[in-house]
Amino acid sequence: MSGRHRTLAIAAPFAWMLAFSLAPLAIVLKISFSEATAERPPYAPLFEMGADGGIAFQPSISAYLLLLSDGLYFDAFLGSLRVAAVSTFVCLLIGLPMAYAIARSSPQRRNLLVMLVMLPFWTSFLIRVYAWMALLKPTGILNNALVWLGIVDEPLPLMNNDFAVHLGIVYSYLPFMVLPIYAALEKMDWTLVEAAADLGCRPSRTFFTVTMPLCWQGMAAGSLLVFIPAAGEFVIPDLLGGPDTLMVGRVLWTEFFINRDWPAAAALTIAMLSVLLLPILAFQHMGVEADRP
Amino acid sequence: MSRAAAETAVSDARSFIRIEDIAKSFSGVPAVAGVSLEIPRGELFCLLGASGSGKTTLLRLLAGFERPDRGTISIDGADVTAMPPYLRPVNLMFQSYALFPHLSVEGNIAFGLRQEKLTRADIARRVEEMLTLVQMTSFARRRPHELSGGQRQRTALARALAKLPKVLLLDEPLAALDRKLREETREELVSIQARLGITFIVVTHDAEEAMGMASRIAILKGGKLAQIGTPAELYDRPRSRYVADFLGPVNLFECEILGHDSGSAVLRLVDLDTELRVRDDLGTARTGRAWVAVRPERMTQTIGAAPVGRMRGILRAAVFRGESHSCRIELPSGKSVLFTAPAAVAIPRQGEPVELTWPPGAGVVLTE
Repeated sequence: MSGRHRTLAIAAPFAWMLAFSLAPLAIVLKISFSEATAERPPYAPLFEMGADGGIAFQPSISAYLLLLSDGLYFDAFLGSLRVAAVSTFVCLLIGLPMAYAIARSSPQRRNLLVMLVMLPFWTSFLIRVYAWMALLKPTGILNNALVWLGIVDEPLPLMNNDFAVHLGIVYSYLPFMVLPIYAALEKMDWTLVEAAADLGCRPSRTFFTVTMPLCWQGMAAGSLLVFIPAAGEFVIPDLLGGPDTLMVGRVLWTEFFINRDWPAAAALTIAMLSVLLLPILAFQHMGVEADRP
Repeated sequence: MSRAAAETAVSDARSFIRIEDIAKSFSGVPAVAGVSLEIPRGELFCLLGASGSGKTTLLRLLAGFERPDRGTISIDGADVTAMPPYLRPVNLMFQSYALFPHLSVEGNIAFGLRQEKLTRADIARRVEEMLTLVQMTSFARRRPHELSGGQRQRTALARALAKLPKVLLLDEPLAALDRKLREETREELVSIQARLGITFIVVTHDAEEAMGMASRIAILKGGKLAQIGTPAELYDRPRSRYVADFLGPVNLFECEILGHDSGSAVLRLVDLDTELRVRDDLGTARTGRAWVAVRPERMTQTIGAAPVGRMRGILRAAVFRGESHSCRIELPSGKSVLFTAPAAVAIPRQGEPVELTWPPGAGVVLTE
């Protein structure tokens, strides 16, 4: 590929990102510094033509002050981070052995197993969450089966609580944990595991002293891929969560569509984004460190 | 060494490692098909064979990475057949070296020691000793990817030796090195082995390498033992054409066994159409075919009457090797015969006739 073509090949997706990801983000940023009004759109313009013909720049940080003054937002933040952290940890617990098993299976079997991990993506995310509702609700398949078998007398409260939210997030984002870890393990030289055994290291210990240090980048990438969307998740807490499930995604929705306080919602978005940028930056920093000889 | 251990060593001197009728198949294909071997303590033993001969499988069976289908392995009097690799008193130097990329040279050497109940100070001291042994002290903090091939090889050796194993297994230890370094490293391995007295078992496909370092060699063919002996025994007294050919260039003259009388056998050399009388130790092969194997360097150009198997051919090729010429002549029957002429001797030009023979005792009669 010539230099010109390469520039073009990079420029096209870059332009796409700029137009459809950064531009809306800039608009959100702009709204977050506006005053809320009861008009349409429900925020005051940031730049206003003054009476003297000049343009007045009137930024306001009242939306951000609102975030700080009302404990609800802070709790929603904490709630989101907690749910995301717990879900990521559970994904790691399930995903790591899964990825390990796939990487150690025979090449033909490996392709089949990877395909099975990706199979859920062939169905819409929303439909899969609804399917969980059908499974978990008090008159759902699971409860009916349990009652019919006589294991429980009354349907278990499986839905509309934090348990269901965690279950939904772990189920939905598990592939994002499995695939990067699998990719890291698949590249690993398994004679290193034999070498460890030869040097007197038991298999369980080998996993922590050899395998994990060599696939931690996959684990970190998988954790980010689960943690970040989980923290911002709206659909799962909305459909599977209970009235006390407090997550940023839901609060955002309420601010935008119920309270019509766009500046507050925009400020919340910016704040969340800033918090989520931290782990990404940390990961990149660690990656650079690891590559340094 | 404790007294009990010393006594075991004395009583088992000839069979420090005892492999009995070991066999291993992979999905129905036998890789090792019934091998029995005894290796004394302190020997530098070579498992020599072409690819597919089962030498690597045998090594992996010794290391514990494979479980045999049948047979037993014992080391220093203890049956280790069912013992997992992490408990065996054996260490393996991998062909690829298998150094841990996330650990430094020091870290790699200390890895095995950390699995034992040793104090930090003991580990540090042993690592230091090993670094000195392989002359890697100044590279202690480097990572494997910052080392040259030779340095990696030394690190792998130090790591495997650090645990002071009863047996050190080396899988093609010189294969990844370039020619010059290979020569040096071979000498170094031999000297380290002699100094530490640890039993070495080296797997190689290179006959020259095996002969250059081993005290004894086992030649494997098709998962079975073809022959076992000192390098000189195998080179000069091979028992099969396969072994004769594997250890270096050899002329194989086909013969018919004509008969036997008073302790000697009479052979007729097919290509030379002459008869040959040899000591009758052909065993069960009373009639049929046999071969006389003669190394090219034992062939001589004849002047005057030849004692045995005189042959006349046309010189087809001569390659100057420095200390000698490697020559090939073609007999009237079309058979090629190799011979090595000292560099000092004038050789005929290509296309000119040459007469060759071999002195008594230079030929070995083979029946398989």
